[in-house]
Amino acid sequence: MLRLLERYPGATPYHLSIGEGGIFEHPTGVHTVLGSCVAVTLHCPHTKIAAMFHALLPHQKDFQKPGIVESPYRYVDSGIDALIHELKKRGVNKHRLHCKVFGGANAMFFNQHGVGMRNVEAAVQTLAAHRIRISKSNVGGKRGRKLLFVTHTNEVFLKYVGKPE
Amino acid sequence: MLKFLIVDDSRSARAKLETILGKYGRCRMAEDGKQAVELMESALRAGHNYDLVAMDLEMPVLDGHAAIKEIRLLEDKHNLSPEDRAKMVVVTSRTDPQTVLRVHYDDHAQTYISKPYDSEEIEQTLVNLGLVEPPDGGDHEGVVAC
Repeated sequence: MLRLLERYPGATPYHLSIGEGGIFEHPTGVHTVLGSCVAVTLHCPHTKIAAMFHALLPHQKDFQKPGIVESPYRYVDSGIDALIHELKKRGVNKHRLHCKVFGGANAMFFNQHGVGMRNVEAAVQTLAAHRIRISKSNVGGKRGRKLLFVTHTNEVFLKYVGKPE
Repeated sequence: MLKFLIVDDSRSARAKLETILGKYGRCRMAEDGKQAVELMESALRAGHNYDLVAMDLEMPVLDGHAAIKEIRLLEDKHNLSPEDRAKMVVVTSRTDPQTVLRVHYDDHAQTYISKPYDSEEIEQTLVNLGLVEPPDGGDHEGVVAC
Protein backbone atom coordinates (compact mmCIF):
# COMPACT_ATOMS: atom_id res chain seq x y z
CA MET A 1 0.00 0.00 0.00
CA LEU A 2 2.93 2.32 0.70
CA ARG A 3 3.75 2.19 -2.98
CA LEU A 4 0.83 4.58 -3.41
CA LEU A 5 3.09 7.23 -1.93
CA GLU A 6 5.17 7.17 -5.12
CA ARG A 7 2.35 9.25 -6.58
CA TYR A 8 3.15 12.00 -4.08
CA PRO A 9 6.76 13.14 -4.55
CA GLY A 10 8.15 14.62 -1.36
CA ALA A 11 5.70 12.88 0.95
CA THR A 12 7.40 11.03 3.78
CA PRO A 13 6.00 7.73 5.07
CA TYR A 14 5.18 7.54 8.76
CA HIS A 15 3.84 4.57 10.71
CA LEU A 16 1.28 5.56 13.34
CA SER A 17 1.26 3.11 16.24
CA ILE A 18 -1.59 2.26 18.58
CA GLY A 19 -2.14 5.07 21.05
CA GLU A 20 -0.21 7.53 18.94
CA GLY A 21 -1.30 10.78 17.34
CA GLY A 22 0.34 13.71 15.66
CA ILE A 23 0.20 16.92 13.69
CA PHE A 24 1.59 16.83 10.16
CA GLU A 25 2.66 20.18 8.72
CA HIS A 26 4.61 18.69 5.80
CA PRO A 27 3.42 16.16 3.20
CA THR A 28 3.31 12.79 4.93
CA GLY A 29 1.83 9.39 4.20
CA VAL A 30 0.61 8.25 7.59
CA HIS A 31 -0.12 4.53 7.63
CA THR A 32 -1.64 2.29 10.24
CA VAL A 33 -3.79 -0.82 10.67
CA LEU A 34 -7.09 -0.80 12.56
CA GLY A 35 -9.25 -3.51 14.06
CA SER A 36 -11.61 -2.32 16.77
CA CYS A 37 -9.42 0.77 17.19
CA VAL A 38 -10.50 4.06 15.68
CA ALA A 39 -8.51 6.56 13.63
CA VAL A 40 -9.68 10.11 13.14
CA THR A 41 -8.13 12.29 10.45
CA LEU A 42 -8.37 16.08 10.44
CA HIS A 43 -7.31 18.26 7.53
CA CYS A 44 -7.34 22.04 7.14
CA PRO A 45 -7.76 22.86 3.44
CA HIS A 46 -6.44 26.40 3.98
CA THR A 47 -3.17 25.66 5.78
CA LYS A 48 -2.78 22.03 4.55
CA ILE A 49 -1.96 21.09 8.13
CA ALA A 50 -3.35 17.70 9.07
CA ALA A 51 -3.68 15.54 12.13
CA MET A 52 -4.43 11.92 12.93
CA PHE A 53 -4.56 9.56 15.87
CA HIS A 54 -5.04 5.82 16.41
CA ALA A 55 -6.95 5.18 19.64
CA LEU A 56 -7.58 1.92 21.42
CA LEU A 57 -10.43 2.75 23.79
CA PRO A 58 -13.37 5.17 23.83
CA HIS A 59 -13.32 7.40 26.93
CA GLN A 60 -10.26 8.36 28.94
CA LYS A 61 -12.14 8.72 32.24
CA ASP A 62 -13.35 5.11 32.10
CA PHE A 63 -9.91 3.57 31.82
CA GLN A 64 -7.19 5.91 33.05
CA LYS A 65 -5.59 4.89 36.35
CA PRO A 66 -4.75 7.57 38.96
CA GLY A 67 -1.13 8.66 39.00
CA ILE A 68 -0.30 7.13 35.62
CA VAL A 69 0.38 9.54 32.80
CA GLU A 70 -0.69 8.16 29.46
CA SER A 71 -0.81 9.49 25.94
CA PRO A 72 -4.16 11.20 25.29
CA TYR A 73 -4.19 9.36 21.96
CA ARG A 74 -4.88 6.01 23.63
CA TYR A 75 -8.47 7.20 23.99
CA VAL A 76 -10.83 8.49 21.33
CA ASP A 77 -12.30 11.41 23.26
CA SER A 78 -9.03 12.75 24.67
CA GLY A 79 -7.34 12.10 21.31
CA ILE A 80 -9.78 14.40 19.53
CA ASP A 81 -9.44 17.05 22.26
CA ALA A 82 -5.64 16.86 22.09
CA LEU A 83 -5.44 17.13 18.30
CA ILE A 84 -7.79 20.11 18.24
CA HIS A 85 -5.75 21.78 20.96
CA GLU A 86 -2.53 21.23 19.02
CA LEU A 87 -4.08 22.49 15.80
CA LYS A 88 -5.39 25.59 17.57
CA LYS A 89 -1.85 26.35 18.78
CA ARG A 90 -0.84 26.38 15.11
CA GLY A 91 -3.61 28.78 14.20
CA VAL A 92 -6.01 26.26 12.69
CA ASN A 93 -9.70 27.04 13.17
CA LYS A 94 -11.46 23.80 14.12
CA HIS A 95 -14.58 24.76 12.19
CA ARG A 96 -12.59 24.68 8.95
CA LEU A 97 -11.43 21.12 9.48
CA HIS A 98 -12.43 18.25 7.25
CA CYS A 99 -12.82 15.16 9.38
CA LYS A 100 -12.92 11.44 8.58
CA VAL A 101 -13.43 8.47 10.89
CA PHE A 102 -12.24 4.89 10.29
CA GLY A 103 -12.08 1.55 12.13
CA GLY A 104 -14.35 0.29 14.88
CA ALA A 105 -14.67 -3.29 13.65
CA ASN A 106 -16.55 -5.62 15.95
CA ALA A 107 -14.96 -8.95 15.18
CA MET A 108 -16.32 -10.80 18.18
CA PHE A 109 -19.38 -8.78 19.06
CA PHE A 110 -21.00 -7.99 15.76
CA ASN A 111 -24.37 -6.26 16.23
CA GLN A 112 -23.63 -5.77 19.90
CA HIS A 113 -22.07 -2.94 21.78
CA GLY A 114 -18.51 -4.18 21.32
CA VAL A 115 -15.51 -1.95 21.82
CA GLY A 116 -15.38 -1.12 18.12
CA MET A 117 -18.81 0.45 18.14
CA ARG A 118 -18.14 2.19 21.45
CA ASN A 119 -14.99 3.68 19.96
CA VAL A 120 -16.96 5.01 17.01
CA GLU A 121 -19.70 6.33 19.30
CA ALA A 122 -17.08 8.19 21.30
CA ALA A 123 -15.67 9.68 18.10
CA VAL A 124 -18.96 10.93 16.64
CA GLN A 125 -20.12 12.29 19.99
CA THR A 126 -16.86 14.07 20.78
CA LEU A 127 -16.68 15.55 17.28
CA ALA A 128 -20.31 16.70 17.57
CA ALA A 129 -19.49 18.36 20.90
CA HIS A 130 -16.75 20.29 19.07
CA ARG A 131 -19.26 21.03 16.27
CA ILE A 132 -17.02 19.32 13.73
CA ARG A 133 -18.86 17.68 10.85
CA ILE A 134 -17.72 14.23 9.74
CA SER A 135 -17.25 14.43 5.99
CA LYS A 136 -16.71 10.70 5.55
CA SER A 137 -16.65 7.54 7.60
CA ASN A 138 -15.90 3.90 6.95
CA VAL A 139 -16.45 2.06 10.22
CA GLY A 140 -17.90 -1.10 11.73
CA GLY A 141 -18.20 -4.51 10.16
CA LYS A 142 -16.03 -7.48 11.08
CA ARG A 143 -12.88 -6.76 9.10
CA GLY A 144 -9.79 -4.80 9.95
CA ARG A 145 -8.65 -1.88 7.83
CA LYS A 146 -5.26 -0.83 6.55
CA LEU A 147 -5.08 2.94 6.07
CA LEU A 148 -2.85 5.41 4.31
CA PHE A 149 -3.59 9.08 5.00
CA VAL A 150 -1.96 11.50 2.58
CA THR A 151 -1.88 14.53 4.82
CA HIS A 152 -1.54 17.39 2.31
CA THR A 153 -4.31 16.15 -0.02
CA ASN A 154 -6.68 14.71 2.63
CA GLU A 155 -6.92 11.43 0.70
CA VAL A 156 -7.32 8.27 2.73
CA PHE A 157 -6.64 4.96 1.00
CA LEU A 158 -8.22 1.99 2.70
CA LYS A 159 -7.88 -1.73 2.27
CA TYR A 160 -9.87 -4.28 4.19
CA VAL A 161 -7.97 -6.99 6.00
CA GLY A 162 -9.51 -10.45 5.76
CA LYS A 163 -12.31 -12.06 3.81
CA PRO A 164 -15.57 -10.28 2.90
CA GLU A 165 -18.27 -10.57 5.57
CA MET B 1 -18.55 -2.56 -16.53
CA LEU B 2 -19.69 -1.54 -13.07
CA LYS B 3 -23.39 -1.03 -12.33
CA PHE B 4 -24.51 1.73 -10.00
CA LEU B 5 -27.88 2.55 -8.47
CA ILE B 6 -28.22 6.21 -7.51
CA VAL B 7 -31.04 6.95 -5.08
CA ASP B 8 -31.88 10.57 -4.27
CA ASP B 9 -35.00 12.70 -4.48
CA SER B 10 -32.97 15.70 -5.67
CA ARG B 11 -32.45 15.84 -9.43
CA SER B 12 -29.21 17.83 -9.04
CA ALA B 13 -27.85 15.38 -6.47
CA ARG B 14 -28.55 12.46 -8.82
CA ALA B 15 -26.94 14.33 -11.72
CA LYS B 16 -23.79 15.06 -9.70
CA LEU B 17 -23.38 11.41 -8.74
CA GLU B 18 -24.08 10.27 -12.28
CA THR B 19 -21.34 12.57 -13.60
CA ILE B 20 -18.83 11.02 -11.20
CA LEU B 21 -19.91 7.38 -11.29
CA GLY B 22 -20.73 7.40 -15.00
CA LYS B 23 -16.98 7.45 -15.72
CA TYR B 24 -16.73 3.98 -14.19
CA GLY B 25 -19.91 2.26 -15.31
CA ARG B 26 -23.64 2.40 -15.96
CA CYS B 27 -25.98 4.31 -13.65
CA ARG B 28 -29.65 3.74 -12.93
CA MET B 29 -31.62 6.37 -11.03
CA ALA B 30 -34.31 6.17 -8.38
CA GLU B 31 -36.14 9.18 -6.94
CA ASP B 32 -37.08 7.49 -3.67
CA GLY B 33 -36.48 4.33 -1.68
CA LYS B 34 -39.45 2.49 -3.14
CA GLN B 35 -38.21 2.97 -6.70
CA ALA B 36 -34.78 1.78 -5.57
CA VAL B 37 -36.20 -1.41 -4.10
CA GLU B 38 -38.19 -2.04 -7.29
CA LEU B 39 -35.11 -1.55 -9.47
CA MET B 40 -33.10 -3.83 -7.21
CA GLU B 41 -35.80 -6.48 -7.31
CA SER B 42 -35.97 -6.47 -11.10
CA ALA B 43 -32.15 -6.60 -11.35
CA LEU B 44 -31.95 -9.59 -9.01
CA ARG B 45 -34.77 -11.35 -10.88
CA ALA B 46 -32.78 -10.83 -14.08
CA GLY B 47 -29.82 -12.50 -12.40
CA HIS B 48 -27.53 -9.57 -11.73
CA ASN B 49 -26.93 -7.08 -8.96
CA TYR B 50 -25.66 -3.55 -8.68
CA ASP B 51 -22.05 -3.16 -7.64
CA LEU B 52 -22.78 -0.10 -5.57
CA VAL B 53 -25.84 1.73 -4.30
CA ALA B 54 -25.44 5.44 -3.50
CA MET B 55 -28.30 6.08 -1.09
CA ASP B 56 -29.74 9.33 0.22
CA LEU B 57 -31.59 9.10 3.54
CA GLU B 58 -34.35 11.68 3.57
CA MET B 59 -36.71 10.88 0.72
CA PRO B 60 -40.47 10.69 0.21
CA VAL B 61 -42.42 7.41 0.03
CA LEU B 62 -39.64 5.24 1.52
CA ASP B 63 -36.60 6.70 3.28
CA GLY B 64 -33.02 5.49 2.87
CA HIS B 65 -32.85 3.43 6.06
CA ALA B 66 -36.01 1.49 5.13
CA ALA B 67 -34.84 1.07 1.54
CA ILE B 68 -31.48 -0.37 2.63
CA LYS B 69 -33.30 -2.85 4.86
CA GLU B 70 -35.55 -3.93 1.97
CA ILE B 71 -32.60 -4.23 -0.40
CA ARG B 72 -30.69 -6.42 2.05
CA LEU B 73 -33.76 -8.63 2.50
CA LEU B 74 -33.98 -9.03 -1.28
CA GLU B 75 -30.30 -9.99 -1.43
CA ASP B 76 -30.89 -12.54 1.35
CA LYS B 77 -33.87 -13.94 -0.56
CA HIS B 78 -31.64 -14.44 -3.59
CA ASN B 79 -28.92 -16.08 -1.43
CA LEU B 80 -26.23 -13.64 -2.52
CA SER B 81 -22.79 -14.23 -1.07
CA PRO B 82 -21.07 -11.33 0.75
CA GLU B 83 -18.94 -10.70 -2.34
CA ASP B 84 -22.02 -10.43 -4.56
CA ARG B 85 -23.95 -7.99 -2.39
CA ALA B 86 -24.12 -4.38 -3.47
CA LYS B 87 -21.76 -2.04 -1.65
CA MET B 88 -23.86 0.50 0.22
CA VAL B 89 -22.69 4.11 0.35
CA VAL B 90 -24.92 6.59 2.16
CA VAL B 91 -24.66 10.14 0.81
CA THR B 92 -26.65 12.49 3.01
CA SER B 93 -26.93 15.97 4.47
CA ARG B 94 -27.75 14.45 7.88
CA THR B 95 -24.69 14.93 10.04
CA ASP B 96 -25.90 14.17 13.58
CA PRO B 97 -24.05 11.44 15.53
CA GLN B 98 -27.12 9.19 15.72
CA THR B 99 -27.41 9.11 11.94
CA VAL B 100 -23.72 8.29 11.42
CA LEU B 101 -23.96 5.41 13.91
CA ARG B 102 -27.25 4.13 12.49
CA VAL B 103 -25.88 4.16 8.95
CA HIS B 104 -22.97 1.94 9.92
CA TYR B 105 -24.26 -0.24 12.75
CA ASP B 106 -27.96 -0.70 11.87
CA ASP B 107 -27.94 -0.27 8.10
CA HIS B 108 -24.45 -1.81 7.77
CA ALA B 109 -23.50 0.65 5.06
CA GLN B 110 -19.80 0.48 4.26
CA THR B 111 -19.31 4.21 3.83
CA TYR B 112 -21.00 7.39 5.01
CA ILE B 113 -20.40 10.62 3.07
CA SER B 114 -21.90 13.93 4.12
CA LYS B 115 -23.13 16.52 1.63
CA PRO B 116 -21.66 18.68 0.26
CA TYR B 117 -18.80 16.48 -0.88
CA ASP B 118 -15.94 16.63 -3.37
CA SER B 119 -16.13 14.28 -6.34
CA GLU B 120 -12.73 12.88 -5.29
CA GLU B 121 -14.36 11.44 -2.18
CA ILE B 122 -16.69 9.32 -4.29
CA GLU B 123 -13.86 8.16 -6.55
CA GLN B 124 -11.72 7.37 -3.52
CA THR B 125 -14.60 5.31 -2.14
CA LEU B 126 -14.68 3.18 -5.30
CA VAL B 127 -11.01 2.34 -4.75
CA ASN B 128 -11.46 1.73 -1.04
CA LEU B 129 -14.41 -0.61 -1.57
CA GLY B 130 -12.42 -2.64 -4.07
CA LEU B 131 -14.51 -1.68 -7.13
CA VAL B 132 -11.71 0.16 -8.87
CA GLU B 133 -8.20 -1.28 -8.84
CA PRO B 134 -5.88 0.50 -6.41
CA PRO B 135 -2.86 1.98 -8.16
CA ASP B 136 -0.36 -0.20 -6.29
CA GLY B 137 -2.28 -3.49 -6.44
CA GLY B 138 -0.73 -4.36 -3.06
CA ASP B 139 -1.64 -7.19 -0.72
CA HIS B 140 -2.27 -7.57 2.98
CA GLU B 141 0.34 -10.12 3.90
CA GLY B 142 1.94 -9.65 7.27
CA VAL B 143 -0.70 -7.20 8.40
CA VAL B 144 -1.78 -7.47 12.04
CA ALA B 145 -4.87 -5.56 13.09
CA CYS B 146 -5.20 -4.15 16.58
